[in-house]
Amino acid sequence: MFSSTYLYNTSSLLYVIVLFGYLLNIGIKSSTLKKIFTTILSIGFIIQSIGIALRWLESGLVEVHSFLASSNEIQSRLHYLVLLTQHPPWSDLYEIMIFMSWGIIFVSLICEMKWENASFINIFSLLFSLVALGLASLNKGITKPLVPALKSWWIMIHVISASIAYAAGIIAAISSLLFLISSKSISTRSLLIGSLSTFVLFLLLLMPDYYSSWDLALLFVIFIGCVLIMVIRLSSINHSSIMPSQTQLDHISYSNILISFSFTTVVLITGCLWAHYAWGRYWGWDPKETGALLIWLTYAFYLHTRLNYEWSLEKSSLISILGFFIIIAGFLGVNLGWFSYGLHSYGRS
Amino acid sequence: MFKYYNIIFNFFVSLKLTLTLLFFLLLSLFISMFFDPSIPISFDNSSPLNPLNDIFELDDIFHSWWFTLIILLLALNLIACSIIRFPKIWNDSMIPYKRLDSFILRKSSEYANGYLKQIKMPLFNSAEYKWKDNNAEYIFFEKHKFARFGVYIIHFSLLVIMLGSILTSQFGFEGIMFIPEGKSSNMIQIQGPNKSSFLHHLNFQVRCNHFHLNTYLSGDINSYESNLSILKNKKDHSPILSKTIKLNDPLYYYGYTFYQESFKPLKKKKHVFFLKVNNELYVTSLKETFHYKCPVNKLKDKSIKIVKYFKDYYSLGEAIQIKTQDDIFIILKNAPNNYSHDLIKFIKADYQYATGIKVCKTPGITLVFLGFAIMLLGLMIAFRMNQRRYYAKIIKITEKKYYLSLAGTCNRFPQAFKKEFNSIVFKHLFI
Repeated sequence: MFSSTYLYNTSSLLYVIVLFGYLLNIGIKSSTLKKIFTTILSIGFIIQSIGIALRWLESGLVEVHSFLASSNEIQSRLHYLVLLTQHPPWSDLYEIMIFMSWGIIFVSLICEMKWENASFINIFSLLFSLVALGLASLNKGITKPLVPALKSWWIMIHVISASIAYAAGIIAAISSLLFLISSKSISTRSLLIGSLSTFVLFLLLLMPDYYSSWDLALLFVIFIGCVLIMVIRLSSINHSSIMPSQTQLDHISYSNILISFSFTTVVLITGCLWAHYAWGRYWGWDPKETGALLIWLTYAFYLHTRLNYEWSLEKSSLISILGFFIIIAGFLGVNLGWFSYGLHSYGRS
Repeated sequence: MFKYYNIIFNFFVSLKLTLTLLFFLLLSLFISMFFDPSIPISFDNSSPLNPLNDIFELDDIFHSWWFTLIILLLALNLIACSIIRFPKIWNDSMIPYKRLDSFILRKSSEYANGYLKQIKMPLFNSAEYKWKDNNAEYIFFEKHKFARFGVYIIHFSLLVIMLGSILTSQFGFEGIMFIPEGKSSNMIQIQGPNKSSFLHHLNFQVRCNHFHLNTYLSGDINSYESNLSILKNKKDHSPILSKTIKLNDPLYYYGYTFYQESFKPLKKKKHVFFLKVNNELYVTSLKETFHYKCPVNKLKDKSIKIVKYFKDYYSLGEAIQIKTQDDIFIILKNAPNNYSHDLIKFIKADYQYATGIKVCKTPGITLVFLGFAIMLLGLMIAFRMNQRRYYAKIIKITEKKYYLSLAGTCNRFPQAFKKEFNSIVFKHLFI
């Protein structure tokens, strides 16, 4: 049946093809091949976008049906249009994960256009995007009518900027990690110890709760990161020949953090405005609000470390990688209930 | 004395302090995420965390003395840094050194030179600035002159937001009022510190004309809204202002904002009746006399009272018994057209709810929103703009031989600037 799920599956298939294509291209280094795979990636992106639009329509129809079923009358054409569009496809965890993967692909396509060697970084962003899509497919994407609090036009700009901000943050963290791997001033041993301790720390953090598929996926991503560091550092391949140069990696990470910081500001501001009009206070120290502020402050911290000349780029990169975990905690962790329950609990299932 | 002053000032000026404070702020925010702000933490008396809680006020981190201290120090740090750095940036931005000399070149600067037969003018842009010396001609051009002020604007906006928040927390309040349908009230319940609560009286009345709960078939709530009226006093019948409020759509009046927050069914399940008299909607309850605008002599009396409610009137459906001054009659909800009353129509009977309305006064909100606007402006300037300067020095050696030196400095993104500079170099030096 032709539905949004069908389109999502098609685009994930294309992403897998592009992932292997990019991996293949590390060895071949053909610019034609790169162009072909980037085109496939764009096609996959467009298909996913159409899927999201279709999902919008589908949930709009669900809204209309449930509105009519509760014996209400649609007053005018405009009212019908409002009902049809008021449920954007980013209102529960399933949709948010799909939208996040969409955001990651969007930002990596921009990186691909702007920087020549970005396809190496995009291998990892594709991996993240696929993990997000895969996790979403574990949930049955059943559309429920929108809860009253989400019926606002602020949801559009708020969630879109969140998706772009966090996607840019994830890509910044990836290029920072690659920067650390290619850095000569850091020994293999300290890199290994660092990555393994992060893995163990995350394992311990998730211990008290039962493992949900989401938590396992996060662990999986970190595990892949650890394996990757080992492979690249321990293999005899000269990694400078396959990776972008250090200045380029740093530049990509810095630019992405500027994007992420700006869009997190937009997220905070629109969130405040929305909260003011819906709940009567613009700031209430809700875990989700605190999480977004935490992400913002982490990037503010990063930007200030770059001003301080005593801080090396390696140390700043560590902050950028920390930013990734903060994003996961502040964005996903709150929805998954790692922290206390807050007002954003409708994003839990 | 001056020495101490200097030490204190130097303490606040340092970037290390900023980083330390930001680190502690991050840490405390992360810890606080584990605690629900609406539920105070309760430790056992024997808990070893108890003295810690007494000192650090862990149950309310965001209002504790040390959190306030961090914010305060951060604000002072910000102000001190701005004061100390501003004159330098101002001078550098407004009165730039325009001659190509070796000391303008920084780490991220670009430089190129070469001999040429002739020089294409203008070098950079038509708006470039040039003048002649004894033996050389100097050219200067800059783009995005004000880019470096973006960071100041962002920091300034933070101070504005802080000021707005202080104003809101000092002079604003947040309370809740429950108004049963058809009733009016002027009392707001405000939650004070330590679970105390007190009442605030408005000098006007808020009436809930009716409350409407809309559910899906599954029982999930679709939406709820209440129609509110602002009245001068209880007996006033012409409202100053009326509005239907729902989530995300509040009512503003006299500095107060009324938000639809919750609702609760009344303890004694009472009915409310929706009547249309002469095509105007009235909401009333049982045995309550109400008045309406009388059209020409149809019913002499202007007051109506519902005497009785029938769930099923002789298997004809819902009905009400109405009493006017000289008549008592029955009106059916689903009356056939011929038998319906020509003036009064019975729309529906519903259970009575009390609407829960959150009343807020946020005097600093304009400042906070202004701060947001300034911050967005600052972000645009700081991150989208890049102060770039181009310098050129032309030395005429003979009529057909010139020595051209080009230099450029940028504030941000040296890689992108290098590309831009190289295109200029390519245009002029390699023809």
